[in-house]
Amino acid sequence: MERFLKQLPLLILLATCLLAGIALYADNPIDAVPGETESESAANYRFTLPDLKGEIQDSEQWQGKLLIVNFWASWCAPCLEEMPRFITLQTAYADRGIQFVGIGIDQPEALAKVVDRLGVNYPVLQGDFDAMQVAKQFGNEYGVLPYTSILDPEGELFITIAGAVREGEMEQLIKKFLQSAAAKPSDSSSI
Amino acid sequence: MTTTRLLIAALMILASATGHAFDLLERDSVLDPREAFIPTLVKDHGLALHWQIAPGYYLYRDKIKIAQINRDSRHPLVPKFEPAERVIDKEFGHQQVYRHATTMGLETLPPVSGQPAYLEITYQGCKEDRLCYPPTTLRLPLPSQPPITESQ
Repeated sequence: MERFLKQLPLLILLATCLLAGIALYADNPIDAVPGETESESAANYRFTLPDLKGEIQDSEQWQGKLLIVNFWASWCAPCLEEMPRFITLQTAYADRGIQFVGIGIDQPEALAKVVDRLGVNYPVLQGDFDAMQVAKQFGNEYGVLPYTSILDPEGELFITIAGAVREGEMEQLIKKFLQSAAAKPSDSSSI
Repeated sequence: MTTTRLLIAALMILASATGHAFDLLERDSVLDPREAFIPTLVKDHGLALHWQIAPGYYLYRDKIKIAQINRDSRHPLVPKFEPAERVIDKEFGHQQVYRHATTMGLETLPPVSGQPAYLEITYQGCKEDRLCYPPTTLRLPLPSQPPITESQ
């Protein structure tokens, strides 16, 4: 009995955590960035950059989709290694509301060569300092490449990944998101 | 059940509820490039630049560019590199890289009297199979040497 009383505070803590966990998970199956309101968050991740033809593209055109923004460069070996996986996933999940967008931090000619060689099938935007600023906006403090951010259909940040995405990881994330979206009745129209 | 086990169980429940997508991708933290690759000037039979390279990271030999800045003039220097490890990059073919540490000799110019001189160092490296940093440039003050006058 004495032993039970000694452990009672910890048992209460355990029960509280369990209840808090259940409540959190049921209420919010996918986290946005904590501490930001929906409108602030979405506005923070909007960007405009030129594509490889020099035409300015606004990220708002992809709102309503799960937007996977991949920062890369032609000199970055891990970037070039992961991109074929994104090409495959773009084809596989295009009709499920998944949109990849590449942001190349490099010269347009160097990027175009890679795009042609790999057969990139999603939009690629380009920039130098301005693209680095966008990467920073997504939390890429040191400008590392590759760097991938996923925005949900409302334009809120779902996750960022510093470094190459390994085989199977991105698809796992996409599936998790699709499952979560299917579980939310209000989101069923967008995904 | 021990106290420790209870605490671990509580933390795991909280983590599983709040982690969501984030727990799918286990990642160690990304180092600041200034922490991953630390250049230090040392005196070793003349002046040398020593690099301390964090475990799991590597520095490209051919991306290291060093220049001496004297007042407003800039003089590229040719470092005396140690033999580097030769690797075959899947994308870029043969590359020479340094891991852990390396030291390169430098022949600097005499500073102009009364003017501070710097080394401007540009470098680039990666974390093994994971990520690369863009070229990074920093300046290190050169230790004071017996000054010469501008007319010399």
